[in-house]
Amino acid sequence: MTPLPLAVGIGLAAFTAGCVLKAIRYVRMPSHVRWELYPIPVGRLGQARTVAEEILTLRMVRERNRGLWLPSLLFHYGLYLLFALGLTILVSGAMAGAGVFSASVRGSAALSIWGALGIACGSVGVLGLLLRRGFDPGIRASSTPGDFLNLAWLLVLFGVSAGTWLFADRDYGVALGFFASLLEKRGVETPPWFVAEALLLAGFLAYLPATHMTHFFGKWFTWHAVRWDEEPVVRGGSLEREMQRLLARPVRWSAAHIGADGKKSWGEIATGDRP
Amino acid sequence: MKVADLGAALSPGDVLSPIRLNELAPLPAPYDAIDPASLWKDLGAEKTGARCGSLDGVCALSVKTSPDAAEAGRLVERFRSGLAKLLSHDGNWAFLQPLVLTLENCTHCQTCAEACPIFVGSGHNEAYRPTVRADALRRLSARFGPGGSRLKGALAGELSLNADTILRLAELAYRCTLCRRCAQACPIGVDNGLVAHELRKLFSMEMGIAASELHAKGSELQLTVGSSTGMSPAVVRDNVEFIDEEIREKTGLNIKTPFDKEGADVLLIHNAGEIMTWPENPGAFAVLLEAAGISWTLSSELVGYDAVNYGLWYDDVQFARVALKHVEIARKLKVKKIVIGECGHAHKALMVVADRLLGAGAVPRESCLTFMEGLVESGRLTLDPARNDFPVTLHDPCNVARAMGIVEEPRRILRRIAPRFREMTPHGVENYCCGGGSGFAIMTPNNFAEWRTLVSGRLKMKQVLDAFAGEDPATPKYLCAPCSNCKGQFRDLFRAYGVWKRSRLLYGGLAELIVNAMADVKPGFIEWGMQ
Repeated sequence: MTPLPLAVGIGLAAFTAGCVLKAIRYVRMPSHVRWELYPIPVGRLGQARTVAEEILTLRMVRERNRGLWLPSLLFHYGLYLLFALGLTILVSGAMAGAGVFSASVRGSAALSIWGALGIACGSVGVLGLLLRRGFDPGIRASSTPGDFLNLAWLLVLFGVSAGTWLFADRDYGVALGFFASLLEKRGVETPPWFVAEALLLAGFLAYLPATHMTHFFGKWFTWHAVRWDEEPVVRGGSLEREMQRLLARPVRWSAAHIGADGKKSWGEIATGDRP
Repeated sequence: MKVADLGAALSPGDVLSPIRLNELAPLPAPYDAIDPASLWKDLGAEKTGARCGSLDGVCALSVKTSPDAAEAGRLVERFRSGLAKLLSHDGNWAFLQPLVLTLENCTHCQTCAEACPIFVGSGHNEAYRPTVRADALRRLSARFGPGGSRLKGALAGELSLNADTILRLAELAYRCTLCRRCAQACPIGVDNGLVAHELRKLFSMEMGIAASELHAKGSELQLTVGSSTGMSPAVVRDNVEFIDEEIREKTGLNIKTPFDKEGADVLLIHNAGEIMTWPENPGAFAVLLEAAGISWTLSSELVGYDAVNYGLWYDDVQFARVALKHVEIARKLKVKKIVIGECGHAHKALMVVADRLLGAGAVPRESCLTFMEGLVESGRLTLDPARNDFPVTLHDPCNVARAMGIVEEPRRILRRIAPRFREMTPHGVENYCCGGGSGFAIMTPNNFAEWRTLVSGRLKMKQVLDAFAGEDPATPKYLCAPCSNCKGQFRDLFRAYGVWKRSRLLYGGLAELIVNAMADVKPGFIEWGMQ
């Protein structure tokens, strides 16, 4: 495999594996005590509506952090559009390469407009976020080097994507050909703009699971598994068994009033004589 | 102040982020004329210079400061060991998932900042920005926690781990009332209030550092003597007998509070502070339950007559010890259910946080608010709303409203019994904390009481006064606050600002207001006057 497909492959694999492993880690964490927070939407439909409104309009940012809302909204819409575009190109390119389509796939004006919109929203949004982070005293105070790195990386990525669109691959024909060529096992001409974009994107995808940007799925856990989790213990149910298992785990905290010796369980410490 | 400054070495007397009295959020007239300096107390040069007061010039913890090099080394070692336990399955299974989600998913967007009544009330003091504690913990975890590394530390941001950092972080864990208004505002679902809770746990469960009012004079006293008030079983019986006498005289009803009645339908557990400080509240409950013909009892067993569970605020083991005692006492008495008196944190402790620990077979627990609504709706009480013809507003205790969603129940009662009820803004699940949450209301060391009065309770004070805007200052008014801890904070706020003198405003519980409206009780159950 030539270096570019290898880099893209590694980036996609690292992204997928990193996200899946992080999600599995969250899932495998022990059941926690109830820690819900109201308002809790009524029923699954209510919850779905709340989540959809949050994803599509960033309602809470709009209501409580107005100055950040527009750049954040543009940035997120840029990502939604480009993620969907990337997925479309990857899938249709790969399908063409695998011979699912009889005709070879080609770039199109629709893809071009789609990409331009995504790049425009993303670039303006990320620039706005970067400026807010740099110049809003409150946001700047809590910003980390990692936060600036994330936004700077994305700004460069959007910039290079704009360059690719302008100078090398306006209708995404190159990108489609690239993914098709992977399965056809043939070489394909890749202009420098495209190579730079692909490498920046691959690197970013590999890096993303190590950042707070995993909130795109982390949020499912914070809302559904914590804020809205009111599940009671049912006799003989799995939650009851899980609690019994956890209460039997040893306590190792060191403060004298705990009375732990590394062997006594949470249940024994809570019900036994205090030191 | 920046997060990295938490570890800075300061010259004696210097403070990282001092309270600026001239920048506090403004109060409405005539309270805007009160000079905050007249309500403030400086720590004094010695304590301000020590680590205790070097964060913000306030000192909540009685921790030995200025450790020598060996002690400082041990502090760092114990903190690291506690951090590892806080982030481990066995050490912190009860809160691990919410904590890790919070540490790993915050985007530092500051959408939470303006939701924090302490940050806003202080005039945006950077030490109280709700993300500061969480950012500090993130930085320390990335560098020194399990799996930490220099690279992760560099990306998370700088913060050195030394005795200054640790002791300031301990103080900082006690500048948040755990009201979780910030968590409610977070679009990601990150919970900065939880971080303050977890830091307190690390300090208590690993390092033995906790507010003495919560630990030594709180949960330890409760588990040893029976109540954090210091009341033994014999004393509580005497006090309740005295309350019964008073209530008989006041109401004309023959009230006798039952103790340890086996098989009663209801075991009522009050915050024992009510019995000591606001006896009219347990008295009102006795009137309501007797008038409605409920089979009920109090317990005189150790811990069984005090609903408080301070462990909820700082220590999982102390929390579990008290919660298990409460349900064990109910089980032995063979009661059908526990009803929790007007105490917000006791609600959340026994009904929510302890729920999964107690298991499916534990005795049912009910809030006094839903229970009282049932009594009012049952028609068994003869109510005359005209007796409550004065302006009333409702303070929603955070642990009842935001943590449990009990919002409409007290309002349905108030609409029945208080014709001049009005809401404060914001209210319900979006209420402001009284400023005394998470144990602050009982904490008074050094200048902490002054801090509560001037800073943490400021927005609540403002919204309570705003709720009565336009009313004649001479008209008696009632702030209904169905929570002992909140009432403790209102007591201190109202005293400091001379609220009775200036606004004829009284605070009290919901049960008292219902009894005040009962037609078969002598009029005037609520006694107007300076509290």
